[in-house]
Amino acid sequence: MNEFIEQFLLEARELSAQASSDLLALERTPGDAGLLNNVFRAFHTLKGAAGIVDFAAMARALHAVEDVLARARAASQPLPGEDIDKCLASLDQVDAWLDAMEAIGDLPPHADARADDIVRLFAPGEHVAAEPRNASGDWAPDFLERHPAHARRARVALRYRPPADCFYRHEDPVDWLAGAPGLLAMELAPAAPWPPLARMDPFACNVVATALLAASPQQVQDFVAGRDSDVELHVIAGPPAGWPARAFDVLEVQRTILQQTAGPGAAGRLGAVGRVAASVLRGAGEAALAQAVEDAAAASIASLDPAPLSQAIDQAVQRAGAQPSSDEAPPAARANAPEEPVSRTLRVDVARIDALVALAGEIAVAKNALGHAALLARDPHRASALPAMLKEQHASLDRLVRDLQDAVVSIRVLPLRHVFQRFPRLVRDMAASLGKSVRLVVEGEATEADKTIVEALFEPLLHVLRNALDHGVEPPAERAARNKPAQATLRLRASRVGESVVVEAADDGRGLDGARIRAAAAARGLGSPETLAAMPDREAMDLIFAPGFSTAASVTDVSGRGVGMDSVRTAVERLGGVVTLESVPGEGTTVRFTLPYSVIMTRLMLVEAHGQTFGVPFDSIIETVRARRADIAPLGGERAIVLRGKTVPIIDLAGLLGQAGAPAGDEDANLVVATMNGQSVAFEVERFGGRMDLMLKPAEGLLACVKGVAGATLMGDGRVLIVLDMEGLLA
Amino acid sequence: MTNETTFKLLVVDDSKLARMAVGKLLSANPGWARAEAANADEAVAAAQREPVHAAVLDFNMPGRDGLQLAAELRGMYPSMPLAIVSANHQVEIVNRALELGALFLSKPMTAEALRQFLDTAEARLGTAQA
Amino acid sequence: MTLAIHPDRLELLGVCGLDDAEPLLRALIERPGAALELADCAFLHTAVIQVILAGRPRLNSLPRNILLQSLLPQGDNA
Repeated sequence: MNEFIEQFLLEARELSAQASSDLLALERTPGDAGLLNNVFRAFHTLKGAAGIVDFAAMARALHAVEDVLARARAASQPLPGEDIDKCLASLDQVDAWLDAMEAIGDLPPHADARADDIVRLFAPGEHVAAEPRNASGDWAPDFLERHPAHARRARVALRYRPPADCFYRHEDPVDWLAGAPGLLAMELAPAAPWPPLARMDPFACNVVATALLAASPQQVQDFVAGRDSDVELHVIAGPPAGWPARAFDVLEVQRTILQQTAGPGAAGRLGAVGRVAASVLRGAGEAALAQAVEDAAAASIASLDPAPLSQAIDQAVQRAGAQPSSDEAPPAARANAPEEPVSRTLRVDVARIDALVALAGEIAVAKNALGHAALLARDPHRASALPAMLKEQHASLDRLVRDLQDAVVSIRVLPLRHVFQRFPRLVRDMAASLGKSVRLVVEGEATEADKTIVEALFEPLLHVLRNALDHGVEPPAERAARNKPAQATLRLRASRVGESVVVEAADDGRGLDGARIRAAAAARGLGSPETLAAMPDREAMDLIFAPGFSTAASVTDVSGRGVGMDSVRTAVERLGGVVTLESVPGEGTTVRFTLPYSVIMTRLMLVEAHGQTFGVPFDSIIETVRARRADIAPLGGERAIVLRGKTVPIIDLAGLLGQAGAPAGDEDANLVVATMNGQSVAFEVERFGGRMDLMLKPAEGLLACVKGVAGATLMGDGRVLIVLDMEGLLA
Repeated sequence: MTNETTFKLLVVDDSKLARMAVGKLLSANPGWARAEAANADEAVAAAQREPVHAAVLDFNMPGRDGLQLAAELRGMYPSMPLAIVSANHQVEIVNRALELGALFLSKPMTAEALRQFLDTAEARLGTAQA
Repeated sequence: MTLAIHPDRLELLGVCGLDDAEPLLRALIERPGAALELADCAFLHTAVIQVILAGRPRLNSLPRNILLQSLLPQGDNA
């Protein structure tokens, strides 16, 4: 990703978050001029940033927002609630664009249409003219004819006759048109014949400007909004929208190359042109045209005559050009949506970098001391001092390495604010859609946790808050009847407890109803009525995390259907955390995530199988078992063993890496039993090894494709340690 | 003329992105080096610490805005070429910039606009040195 | 001041706004046949462009900006 886009993403995300929180604050205190000013400045700076990275669509959209804010600011009027909603909606679009940019490392596709939506949102009245007026469009064909080079890309021809007094209104028609979307060419002509210079009024505008634009009619309409009465538009039948913008250009270039294909190497050039043209056509979703071009290329190569290929490319261009154009149809080639964005940039406090630099210095000193010890070892008279010295140096290196690990971990930590700050807005919107009045109180947002954890908390927290709003918080009438304040309170709290980070979401709603949960669990076959009745309340409440459980009496817009709290538990466990729940009927529910502060250090148990060392994450191991061969039974194509009444499948570790499993001997089998989500699996190993704390690197290269492998690391003796990913293995 | 001289341009903007953008444009102008500041305080400190020959100031900054900073720099260096940069061409800002003897440039800055500013600055600095 | 009046020619420099239209018009009236230099001109306001279109002075050089070049009469101004 280029450094400008990287920096843009950093700044734009901060500005968007800032604008969002200021808008919400403004909603609570509508007359606050300082807040309005902050919001304006955030949008203004965001627009400027978009301009720097040439993201014209975003700048255009934000300009529309800025106009509304500037008007409110100038009039010293509070910003109406509906405008706050619109501003927030535009920030949603900005965030979506930023996500897309993070994923693809470049400006997002189709941004213009989205920008159009935002502009329309803020100026709905100016877009009533649905169809561009062709009026007396007879000027357009002549104009197009004078610009054959642009004929293929031009979508709209525009004619602008500015009012004679426009200069007095600080208008500059040429400068304005120069900013038109997709400007290809412009011409100026006198509106009335030029008078002799001596009688010319330099302040009266006497020009008619015509322009050819490569933008969509909608974009052009938005651009000319406000000057409609002086502008005539003529829509030119354009290429199908499904074609990537550059496809025509590329095909044009291929045709030019074909004109120079005589002489040595002609066959190679013909082949290259054919391949490029065919792949461009394929990329545009035109498989049949691509095939025709390939066939023609073969014919051209055989006869060393470019004519067949040239004709095929011409036909492809014309055929495609004849198809009806539609702005909404997404290009077939873009069907593969960008992957979920993975944030790759870290913003690090300078003090933390300084700490690392200092540590690097200390480690260099320790290295020198070790060099001194090596010299001692060569001197037989002084070698006796060596053991003590080595011991001391080991101790100091040990400390340094630990400090280094801490320092590295601290670089990876982020305050929970990073995820918390998105909720005020979401809670507001969700509460509004449910007709409930809710206040969100956020505490401890400065608490830090590993970046991986902070970034993965959004989904599960959103889910818990949704549930609280939907099922926990009573409708206003019910709250009134229970003598509760009409406005419910949701608390989002974070705190550091030792090596853990505790994140809680608490509501003051109706609390969980043990009887209802038992009934629902029984109805879903999660246990017999007797077992459920005997279950303590605490355990019964835990059932809401069971897969497929939902007690929603009605399916609402907010919680939706089918996604239960089980997804929350899965997500938190994936992060190495646990979810617990407390609920007091009538008083509310608290859902608590207890998460590790750092995910980097992984404690492993080492095992050996078929000459390979594997690391099994300690936190997933239940026990190690020595089992008799006779107790291992075939199960499907696999093997399994019954442990404490449960059938546990046995996984052959070597098979995981595509190695053949060694034939089983007669001796007892060593099994490591591990669990994940209540599902158990046993690994047969030759030897149990020691334990190890490891800073785990994600798997790279070939290993990255192997299911069940979390990563690999080099051990002191040069052997490769493969760390197992229990989730992947059990998926 | 003064090809050997290295001039220093102080770029003041709270957005690092904006400073990077000016830096990129500036790299096309040999003879000019860059100093950066993220706000008015840093800018004043930088101008006291090292010789600065010209400055490009963002109008819209938290704390003191670009015009206030321009007035302050004007007090320190009465003849320093200054430019105020803003994305909004508000007449009031343009006029106040002109009153301070500063050029007004629209944001994002173009290569032409910067070159023109630097050319004028070089001319002014050249005569001042002669 | 972006209009420079040389003994033999006129020159537009830098950003030429609305205010430059009238001085240019007057200069063209006073010096019929004077040529115009635009090489160092970065921007032309529509009002300035229309004075050039109406007066059709000989253009010794064109602006660097391609769009401005395309709007100005070229070659055929005998």
